[in-house]
Amino acid sequence: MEEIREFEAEGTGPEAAAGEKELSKYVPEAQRKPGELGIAALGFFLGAFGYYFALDMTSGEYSSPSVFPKLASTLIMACSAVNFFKALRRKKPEASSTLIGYLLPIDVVVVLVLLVAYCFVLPRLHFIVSSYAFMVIGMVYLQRGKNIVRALLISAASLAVLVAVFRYLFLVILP
Amino acid sequence: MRKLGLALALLVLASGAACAAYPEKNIQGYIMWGAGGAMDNVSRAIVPIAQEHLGKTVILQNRTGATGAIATTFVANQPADGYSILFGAENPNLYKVTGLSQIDYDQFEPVFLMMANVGVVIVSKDSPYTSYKELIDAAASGKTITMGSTGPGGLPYVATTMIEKIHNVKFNKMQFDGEGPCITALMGGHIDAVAVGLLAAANFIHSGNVKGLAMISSERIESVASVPAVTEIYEEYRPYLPWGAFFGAFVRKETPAEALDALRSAFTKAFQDPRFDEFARTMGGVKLGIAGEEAKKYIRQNQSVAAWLLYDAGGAKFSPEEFGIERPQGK
Amino acid sequence: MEQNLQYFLIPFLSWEMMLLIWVGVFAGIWVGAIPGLSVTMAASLLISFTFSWDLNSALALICGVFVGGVYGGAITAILLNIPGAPAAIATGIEGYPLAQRGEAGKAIGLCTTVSVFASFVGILVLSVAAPVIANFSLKFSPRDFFLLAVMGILLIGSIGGGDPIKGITAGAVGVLLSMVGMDPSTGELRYTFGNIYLMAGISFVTAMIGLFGVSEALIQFRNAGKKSPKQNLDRIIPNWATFLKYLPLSIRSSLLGVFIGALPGTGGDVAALLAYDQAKRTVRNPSRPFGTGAYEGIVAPETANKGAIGGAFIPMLTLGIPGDAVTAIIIGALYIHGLKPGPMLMIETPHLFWMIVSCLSIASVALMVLGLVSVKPFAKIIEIPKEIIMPVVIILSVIGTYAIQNSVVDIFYMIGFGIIGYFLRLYGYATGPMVLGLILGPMLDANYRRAMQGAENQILPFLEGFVTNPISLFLTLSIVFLVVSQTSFYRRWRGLE
Repeated sequence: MEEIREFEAEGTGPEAAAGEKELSKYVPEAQRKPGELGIAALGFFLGAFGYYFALDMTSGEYSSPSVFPKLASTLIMACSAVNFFKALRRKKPEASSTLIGYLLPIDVVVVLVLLVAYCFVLPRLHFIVSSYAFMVIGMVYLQRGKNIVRALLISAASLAVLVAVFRYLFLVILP
Repeated sequence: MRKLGLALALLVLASGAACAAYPEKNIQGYIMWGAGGAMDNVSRAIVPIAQEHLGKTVILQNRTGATGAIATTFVANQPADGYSILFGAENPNLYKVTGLSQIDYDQFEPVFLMMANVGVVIVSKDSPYTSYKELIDAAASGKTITMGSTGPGGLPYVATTMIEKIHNVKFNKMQFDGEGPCITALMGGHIDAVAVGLLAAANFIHSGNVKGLAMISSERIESVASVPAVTEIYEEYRPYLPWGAFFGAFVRKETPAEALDALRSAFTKAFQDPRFDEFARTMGGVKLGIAGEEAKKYIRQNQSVAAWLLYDAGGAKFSPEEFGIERPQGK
Repeated sequence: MEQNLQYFLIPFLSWEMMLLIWVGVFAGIWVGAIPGLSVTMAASLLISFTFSWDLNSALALICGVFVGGVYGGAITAILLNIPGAPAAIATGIEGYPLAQRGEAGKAIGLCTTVSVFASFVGILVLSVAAPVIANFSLKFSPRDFFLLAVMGILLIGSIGGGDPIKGITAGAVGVLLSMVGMDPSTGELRYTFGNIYLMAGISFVTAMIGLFGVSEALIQFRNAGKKSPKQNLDRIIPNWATFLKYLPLSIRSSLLGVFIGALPGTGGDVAALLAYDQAKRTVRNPSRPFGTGAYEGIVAPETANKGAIGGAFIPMLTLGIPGDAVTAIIIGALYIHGLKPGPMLMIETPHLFWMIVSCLSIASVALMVLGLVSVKPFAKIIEIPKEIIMPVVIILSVIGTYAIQNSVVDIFYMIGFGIIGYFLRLYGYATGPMVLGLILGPMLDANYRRAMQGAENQILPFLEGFVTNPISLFLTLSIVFLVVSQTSFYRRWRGLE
């Protein structure tokens, strides 16, 4: 039995000890996060919309196409309401964390901007150019301007492999 | 003078580019029904042979949903350059009258119609009904008979509507994703009967897992000669026949003639290939092999029978008249 | 008997077939690993590709790709938290935390070993009990499929380790989203607002890649400075004692997988989910709590989806009915090569059955070798700094998504889902349940309606069916048990709290 424990327990690394939580049982956090009420309300409205639009669908029998959409919408509304009230009962978020700060740390913002830009550029400049640009800019930014050559090379190499596999092996005509 | 020369040169270049031989790249083929079904099998049988004559690969994908409307709409929205082919069955003929979609074969040009598929009414081998008459009598006596269906416009749906209209009975219908699942459900006893295309049912009739009660045609089919033609039992079917499903390849109407001709020639050669012959025989389908005007006429005739049938029986949302579909001759 | 043995030996006597199987497994692992590429897609490509080949060679290649492909999905799930295929979602839930701890090597090693075992279990059942199981699987009515889907959905509240109610919310949103598009039964447009792209529905693979892949990348960027976990690669092949410890679970899950695979229309995806669910509820002392890297959480789904491979062949070879999407395509291949899949297949071409059994066996052995050999290189991938690998992962997701339907709109969807997933995760709404909802939604909807139609739209007969039909009764009781066993009442009664 020693061996088994050895096999399983060998995971070292600084993250291991720190991150070990009893995740199988859910323990709610004491404070709610900024914007949590908002998202629960959003959920509720999503459910409401879902139900509203489901009314347009054929109904009348128990086996109509509208049954499950209505069911799902109702469930969403119910759960969102529960989420809302549960969040309400918790303490307000710390004064130091703002909504924007929580949702959008600067790195994430940059990547999001890059993604949106990619969506625009893709139909015009096509896959290879857009993807190469995305990867290089991404890597360079995330590494704070270090290792530029390495970024250029790795992007080129991975792109080459991807294109080879998809274009020539699977015969997918790239966008 | 120089300008004229330049213009001429450009013209030649441009027309040269336009005359670059089709196909220059691989072609996408979209099959409107699911993998393993009759439509899928016919497409996958003929395409590899046609490819040999085209010189490029036709990449086949199944794009199922809504009795083929998803694939039809999709291909109708692709560029009309001959690089998107729709592999479709007879379902689009009913889209307009059932209100499923405004896009049907009117927006397409048939490249080639490969095979036709006749309907057969089957029951499971343990079914209490041993003859077609017994089934109809049971339905007429008020007993609930559950028939399988593949959705509005599919062969089972239209066939069932035909039967309901002729005998003035009503069946309970259960919907599945294709003829295959219908047959599976039949064998498991979850439905009582179903009318499917012979292509899907032939093997199961041969092995005895299902019983064929009647062929929806005016004569018996060779590969299942023991199944009576429905007209032998009830003459009332005759005005509606011949009717059935068909399988073909289509491209958008606006496709350039060059591409259309290349495709047509490749498919015709593939059709005549002995390998496809072998396949057709094994599957039990009826080889059609028509193209161009003849194909369009065939499709129109099929549409008029099915659309008016459905409308007269009350199964259609809109009248075929609104779309200029003529009544079948003499009905 | 000797006849069958002769058929079994066919691939062994042809170096071409042997080679094809090994090549197939290797290629399959990659296909399965890359998100967006599915075994089904590869299989359909291969059918056209091998049209002019001899049938045996074509089948050998396809069997190899099948086995490798089902396995490959687990690799990216464990390493990058992007399941290469829906069958690997559960594997990723447990495997990814393991990789973050530096145990990717062990995780993949264990995964490979039990996968091979399960594959053989599936093949064994296929060889011994195929006709019996096939006939039994026919008896499953739409109501029973509905119950199976409900079982899968029950998983929603508990995966992801977050607030169960939030999990259910996400799941319900997934189910709602799965309804977008043309209703497959009546053709009616639901939630399409006149938009053509919505008419085609929301492909769950697109959503999966976005919700897992891109959102993961975005989340990782919040901790841009964190270093990638160092991988410990000393002991990757589990020793005998470990293997035995997980043996009961492996057997249970692979048998479950075989059976689910044998049900027409359902395959490895559903099998893996149900097996994972079953493991969560029956394993008393997991090596770690589920959700943080429990080895049982890898063993169960992976054995199930390998068992499902053998299972899928059961109805296909005995009745000509596809057990899943890949076998449906193989049936097409048989037609094209002039055979008649169906109940006559075993009688007219008996060699086919044993030849496929043998190809699958060889493929399993190939999987063992190729899988273990590639563990180290794969695990090293995680050590690449995330600033480099994440942009590549994003582009990989993009191209993988595009490859599904050649649609640029899908790419936009995928990125959109990724962004939504990122925000959701920040608030504790796990993405796994949403993908589950997307996958199981159609199964729930269609089968519920069929069951209702069978009862002629009347509530009483519909409900009656759940208790009068033995299969339905068994499934219903199982579901009741599953739900009750989670409540405090039951746990106190059993002394678990």
